[in-house]
Amino acid sequence: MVEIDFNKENEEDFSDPPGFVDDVTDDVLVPDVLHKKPTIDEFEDNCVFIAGIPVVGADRLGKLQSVLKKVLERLDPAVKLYIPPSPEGGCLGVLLTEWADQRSAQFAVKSLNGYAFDKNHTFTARSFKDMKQLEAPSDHWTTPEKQAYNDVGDLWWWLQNERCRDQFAISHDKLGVPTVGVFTNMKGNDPELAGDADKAERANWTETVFTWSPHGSYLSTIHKQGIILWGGKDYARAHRFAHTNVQYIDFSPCETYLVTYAAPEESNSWGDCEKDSLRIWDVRTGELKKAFSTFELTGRTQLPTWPFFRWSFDEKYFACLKAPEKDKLEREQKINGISIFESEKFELYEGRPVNIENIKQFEWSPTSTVLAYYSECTDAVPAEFGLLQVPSMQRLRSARVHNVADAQMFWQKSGKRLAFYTMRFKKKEYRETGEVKYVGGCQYHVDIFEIDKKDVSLMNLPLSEPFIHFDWDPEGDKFCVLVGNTAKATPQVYKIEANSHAPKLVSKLDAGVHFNEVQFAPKGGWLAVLAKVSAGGNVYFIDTSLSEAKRTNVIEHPLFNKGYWDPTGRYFVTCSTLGGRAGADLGYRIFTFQGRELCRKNLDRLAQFKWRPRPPVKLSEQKQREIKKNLKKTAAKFIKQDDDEKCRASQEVVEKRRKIMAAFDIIRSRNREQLDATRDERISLRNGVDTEAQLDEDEFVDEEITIALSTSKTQAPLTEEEMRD
Amino acid sequence: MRPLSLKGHERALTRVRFNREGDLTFSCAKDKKPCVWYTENGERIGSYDGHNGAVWDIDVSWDTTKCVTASGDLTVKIWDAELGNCLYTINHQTPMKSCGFSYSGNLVCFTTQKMTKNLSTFQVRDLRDSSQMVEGGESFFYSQFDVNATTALFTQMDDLVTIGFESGLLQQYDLRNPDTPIHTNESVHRYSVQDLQLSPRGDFLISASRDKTAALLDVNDLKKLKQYKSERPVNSACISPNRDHICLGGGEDAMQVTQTSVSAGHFEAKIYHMVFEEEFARFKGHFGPINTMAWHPSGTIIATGGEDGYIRIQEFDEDYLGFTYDF
Repeated sequence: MVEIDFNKENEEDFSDPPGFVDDVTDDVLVPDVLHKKPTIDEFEDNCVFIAGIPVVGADRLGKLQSVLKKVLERLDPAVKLYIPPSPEGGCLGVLLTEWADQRSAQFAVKSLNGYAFDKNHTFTARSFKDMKQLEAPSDHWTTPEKQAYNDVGDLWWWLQNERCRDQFAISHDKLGVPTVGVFTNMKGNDPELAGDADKAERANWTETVFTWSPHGSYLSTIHKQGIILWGGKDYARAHRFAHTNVQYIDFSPCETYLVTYAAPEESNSWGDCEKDSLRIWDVRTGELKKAFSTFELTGRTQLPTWPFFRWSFDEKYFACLKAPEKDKLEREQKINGISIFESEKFELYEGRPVNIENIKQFEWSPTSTVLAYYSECTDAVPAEFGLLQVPSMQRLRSARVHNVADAQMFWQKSGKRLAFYTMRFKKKEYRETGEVKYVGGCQYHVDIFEIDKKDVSLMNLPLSEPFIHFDWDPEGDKFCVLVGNTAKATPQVYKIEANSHAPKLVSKLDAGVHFNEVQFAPKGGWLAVLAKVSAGGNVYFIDTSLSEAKRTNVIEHPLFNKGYWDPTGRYFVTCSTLGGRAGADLGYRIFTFQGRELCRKNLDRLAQFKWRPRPPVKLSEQKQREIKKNLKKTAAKFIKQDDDEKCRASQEVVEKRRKIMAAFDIIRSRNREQLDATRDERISLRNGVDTEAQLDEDEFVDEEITIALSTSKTQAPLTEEEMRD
Repeated sequence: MRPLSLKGHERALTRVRFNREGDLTFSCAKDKKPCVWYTENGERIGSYDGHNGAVWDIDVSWDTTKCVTASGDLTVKIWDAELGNCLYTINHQTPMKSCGFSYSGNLVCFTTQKMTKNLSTFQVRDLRDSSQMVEGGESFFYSQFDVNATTALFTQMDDLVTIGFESGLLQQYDLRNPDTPIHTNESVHRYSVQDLQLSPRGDFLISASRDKTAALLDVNDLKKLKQYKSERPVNSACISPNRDHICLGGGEDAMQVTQTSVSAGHFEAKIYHMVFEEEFARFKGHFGPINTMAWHPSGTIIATGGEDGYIRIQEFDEDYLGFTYDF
């Protein structure tokens, strides 16, 4: 408590000295108040310009006016209309309106834009202010010249590798220079550069990070001026997108669109100066499709998450959370909706966001335009997990859960099922600091929606231990849930059976320490359980295709911080990159899907390791059957190819070694000759003893040494003197 | 045979060496007593008592009659190897960091540490000259440096010496010319040279450095022939007497060891092919960094001394002895 002494006489004088001139401008002092300062043209905010009304002659003007008035007064009775007359006394097909205040004017723009007045007339409404900002096209404007097609060669050349080998790209320091290189995984041998030495590996290829496009067609690099996509055999420049100081990029799922974000250069907290920090591009044409202001979308000057837009599987829609509502003190309250955009027009679908109270997160289904959402619980309302079908906006199914402290959602890659994990508390207490404390322990549950069942069925699986991580078998009926704590984490594999109401446990796997992630192989069947950023650095490799899941191998890679399956599920890589714990040895190790180490590389300042993704290719049922039938025959062929390869590789190595050895032998024999020349001198130094001769002829003499291995103590008989004591 | 783990020192090992026949193992540590052991069974024969500080280096003459030790108590002592009594004591103003006998065993070289106004020195004395071996005697070869000379040894008979420095510099001197080095190599190592060892035939030198590498050098001109990369600072390296192999050891800094788990510390000794520079085997055992190692003259045993205070005498298994490179 600060006590104020009102009687204190020697109060410090804060008033300005006489003649003081204030040099702080109001702009600096009260920018927020000035921001709301009335302006001369504020009146224009209340005016709305509407085009597309019927063109009529003077005779029917009165009737039109009354009909229009009727329509507009439904929005706000206080509207004033003015129809500019044509020289003939009729109307021009435009209408000027004035509204009571800015809010109702904005509401009118929203409602009237695109309003179908009758069969032949659709309104276009714009606020007067916007109208003023429209500019006439430049006098020198000409149709843009047709750009020549930039042919970089076959974008999918790498898929045609005869041995079906996968590529990966890494970014690390080579001889002290940040370098990005694309390599082919050679199974057991050292990875080879995927292309010419000067093309597939380049110093300073990117200024920050690189990414693969989702189908692997392009390698994208980030530069100060924007994004470059590289493709084809020579990694030639395929496309460029200008976006100064770009920070983040994200592709839509089928590579059609590219989303880029650069933090606005000079931002004040009202986001006045930025209109296009988020941009969406068409990858093939390079056209800017739409630019968004981060501030308008989120109410913040910085992005809350990345990727910001979530795309539906077919790229028809993309969505983000609505800007949070703010109270009078500009504090963020809850978010209560999703903004869904159509990629056809890049406009908000149906002009408004979808309302979902208290929404926390949402995920699109991987195979349909259904999105799953999770809205947080409040003290009064339980949390809700629901499925929303787009564009019908129909809620397919939802589940309400009380007292949810934490939740996550997991779609199965086949789109058949959605799992959500919930941590449910018994009682909640608010501490003085504002923190929330859960009292009386928590329960952990996994619930599963089955989308393809009638009415979307729901099953529940209570967990006996705290939840750590979860993953679906992408195609099958299994999933793995990791439970426990850092000291003892157990992966549990469950199977969903057709006529059962609960998943069945099909594993008896040992617990391990520090496990924090489970990853199913992209084609299912195999499972990796990872202990990332731990001193032990274990990975379990588990075969789940059998009736009981079995562990095949455990590997160790101390302090690795990333692990990825290759796109075919044949290999698994663990890497220790710059983002991991300090002091770790940076590098990567590649394993087979069973956990047998194939190759390990240590690299200076390894920053990224990314497998090149593959486009989804669906073989026909018949072809798949054919392959399965002939598996033994083809396997034999592949094994032979592998052996030949190994033989050839080892021959090359042998050849190389011979050369190195030959070069070394020259030096060695020269040195030995010199030593031989001075041998007599050395013998005389050691008093005539030729110690080198013994060394060569190995004249070691066996000598037997007898050593007592054990000794025992026996008490000597006491002397007379001691007896007396 | 199981590896022998010898516990006779109370502090971190600083040097292990075999005598020329390999039947005896000599060791010194940061405690005050250098020891001698039977290589065969690891039994300690005795210790050389008389120092009053950490002993940084020990060497034994070719005929195993004399030992020399360099200590932090500002003395180098020459001992009767068999009886363990001190024959001579050499004094200096600063701690002694390393020492060694010449080919004939008549000369003793040693380096001293840089301290305040005293520069680091490299000196050689002749045991046969009584004027050099009395108290207050002076070295017939004397050279001073601004940087610490960490290790030194005779590299060609009784004539040439090679010195390794804390800055990573390597220099070779001819004893007949103390003013200028005859060869210098400043490019091979970036950080402190921790150890220099001669190949048993005397045709190559191997240097171990904190820059995480060991290098094979031409004994005649100090040119780098090969370089072996490790993931951790290298404290010691040695060359096999009868195979084209080298072995190196080291590990995370002693200061950081408490924070690192044993597997991440890289306390293993690593064996490389000398010519192809490829690592092909490693063996574990120490709980801390390896400070020193020596290859037995027979080529089948390696002795390592660690920060953990243990000496390990490791005999190679069949896998190693039968291992060959195709070329």
